[in-house]
Amino acid sequence: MLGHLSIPGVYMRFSRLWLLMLALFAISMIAVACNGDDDDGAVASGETLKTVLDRGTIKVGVKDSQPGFGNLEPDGTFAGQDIEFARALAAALFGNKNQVEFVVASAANRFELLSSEEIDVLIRTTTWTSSRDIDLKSSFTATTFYDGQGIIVNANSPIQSLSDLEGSTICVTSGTTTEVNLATRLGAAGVNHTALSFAGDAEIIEAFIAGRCDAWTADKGNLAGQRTSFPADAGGSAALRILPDTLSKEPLGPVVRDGDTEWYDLVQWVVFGTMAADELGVNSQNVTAMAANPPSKDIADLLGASFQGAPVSEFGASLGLSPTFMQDVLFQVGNYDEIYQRTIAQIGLARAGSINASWLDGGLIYAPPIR
Amino acid sequence: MNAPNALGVRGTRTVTPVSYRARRWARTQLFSSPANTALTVVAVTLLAFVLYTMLKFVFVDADWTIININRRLIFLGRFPQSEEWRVWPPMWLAMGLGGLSYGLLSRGSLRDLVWLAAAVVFILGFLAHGMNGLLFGGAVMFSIAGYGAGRMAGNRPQLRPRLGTVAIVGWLLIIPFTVILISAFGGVKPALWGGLLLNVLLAVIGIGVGLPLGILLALSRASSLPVLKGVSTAIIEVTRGGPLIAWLFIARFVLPAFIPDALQTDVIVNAMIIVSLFTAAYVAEIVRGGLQSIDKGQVEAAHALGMGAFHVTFFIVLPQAIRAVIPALVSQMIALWKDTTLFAVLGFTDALGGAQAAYSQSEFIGRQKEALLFIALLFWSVSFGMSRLSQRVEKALGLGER
Repeated sequence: MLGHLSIPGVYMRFSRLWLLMLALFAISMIAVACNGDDDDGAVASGETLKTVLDRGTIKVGVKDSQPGFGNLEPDGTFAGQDIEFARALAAALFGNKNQVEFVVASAANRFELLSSEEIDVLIRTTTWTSSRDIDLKSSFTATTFYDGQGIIVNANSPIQSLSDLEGSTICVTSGTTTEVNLATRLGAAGVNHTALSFAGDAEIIEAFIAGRCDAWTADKGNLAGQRTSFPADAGGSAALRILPDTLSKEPLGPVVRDGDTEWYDLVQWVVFGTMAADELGVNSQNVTAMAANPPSKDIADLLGASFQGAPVSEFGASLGLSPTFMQDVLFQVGNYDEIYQRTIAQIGLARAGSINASWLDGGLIYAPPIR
Repeated sequence: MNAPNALGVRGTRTVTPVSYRARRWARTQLFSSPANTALTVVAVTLLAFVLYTMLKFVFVDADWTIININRRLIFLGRFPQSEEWRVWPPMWLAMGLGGLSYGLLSRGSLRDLVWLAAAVVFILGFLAHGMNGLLFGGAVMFSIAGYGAGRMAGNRPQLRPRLGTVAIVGWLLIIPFTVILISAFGGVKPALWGGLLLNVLLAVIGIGVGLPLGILLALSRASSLPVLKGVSTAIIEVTRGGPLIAWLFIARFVLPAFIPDALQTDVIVNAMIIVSLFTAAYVAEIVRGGLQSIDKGQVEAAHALGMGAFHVTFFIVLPQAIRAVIPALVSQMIALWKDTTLFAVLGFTDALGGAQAAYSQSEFIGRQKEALLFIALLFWSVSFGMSRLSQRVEKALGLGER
């Protein structure tokens, strides 16, 4: 074919250019490939910890759009309770809370991401239910937040409890379990009401401000967030009141794949560790002092310190972690209460007196003993 | 137009011809019958209402703080702040090349200048403050310098082809340059690429790889070699057989199960492959249409002159075929540009995802109108720019004028 070329110079220049292009493209692809993770592939059960340690980061599926739990800040970083627990896991594994890769998981694809091993743990306001636990081959490690469906009304509304909702119109997000729960609970109580469905929170708020409904229902964690950010020209957060009734149980917490009990234990006990530290009064401020001179055997065992010359507890070692992993977690991230105050308290959900208080204060947050 | 005569007959000389024409146009086009009048009144009222509420929202009611605070999230997504410098050199290069190409291809017009000035004022006044403003100002300087160089070449014939080569090579190298600069040497992991940067990267890669690949597919589908024809037909038909979103899901959740570990690629590489293949399949069919429009006589004539297959294809058939299908190709590029938002299903935070995350922040709940309008403006301005650019190219090629 070359013999037919009447203008070989042009052709040569062309071909050299193409070669250069191809080479550069190959280089860029290789650069990308080297940068990415090569160990995304299948891992036999029981090896999640090894994979994570080899990779040097833990991959966590999170939400990017729920203030207090998981949302993206203007600078492109994540914030929220779910995010803090992901960082706590990284601190426990690597002694560095920043060795975590966040993967944005949607409500629809989160279990896919988990089962296809794209993520090591799912911490995305995921409710612990029997079908998810059993059918979706996932295991719920611990509950980090007890949510539940609530109802919000105007602060000056006469509605005080569920029975006052007789004859009222209630706004609800269409196609959610909240819609079903509302019908079931109010139906069982014999309360006649009209449910008005909307596509999302924003539409509901508009309808509520326009007076189209007397109340609106959603998970309490969500309602509290909406209340804090209620438009100032509509009266701000003072214009709204959340009813004390809870219509459903929504325990939220980290989820792992079935079949890797070692990994399950690790995730579970890092979460319990933050709760135990809260119960024992160990926090990010005093952890260094307490590790140097533990005031009790419980604290010494939690922090992997020696108590009055006794040998260090097996807690960290039995999880495949450093004996002092909880020191890193507490120093870098903090205990359960510190995490809560930094995240969920900021959206207006006080911890004191709620079901998310420590069991010592009458709440449900309870860590099994470490010994 | 014999309006003056009509005026003379009616004796209404005080009416100027233009307003008379306008009135006559309105009477015949808008108020020719009662039904038409009613339709006009309803449509104008509705239009006025929508326009009024929209303008009132944009200039009075809207609180654009959400955009101002979340600029980073919309333009760069989760791209780490400390690595932001990696984005600027490609931007400068692109702006410089843009200016150079414009200077080489066009003499510049007042209308273009007004549009560009408006864009620069908007970006500097609204989006790029402080350091970013300076860096963006630098980019503007680069494009002005590029334009100056391009215009200068107009007077020096020996400089023009050289600068033309610089522009072409520059545009060809810009993708690898950007990708290498962003990711290599301790750079940013693809999972963290985001915002408008990601949309632009995917679109540019889709066009840059998909266009030549599509042309090759079209040529092989039109070829007489059965294997080549069969393979390319299969690639085109399989790719076109599924919607883009389905291919994205397949790439994320299905294909990895069938590919050995050693060959597993990063999600961004999968995304690049998909966007290139998908574009190529559609481009191939568009180009094939163009190929079929070329008279066989031309090919035969070229052969008769002793030209080989390579020359006939690349210097006779293809240039004419592509010229004929430029409008369809540009439509495909614009569609691709908008489709890049679908890549959010792979877990990226693109410009749209950044906006969604922004109006989920507690201080901005309920501000989705501002966020989505802004994203709409971003995507529209790029699409519109592409469409104008293609019209310019068509004009330069003398299309539709013969």
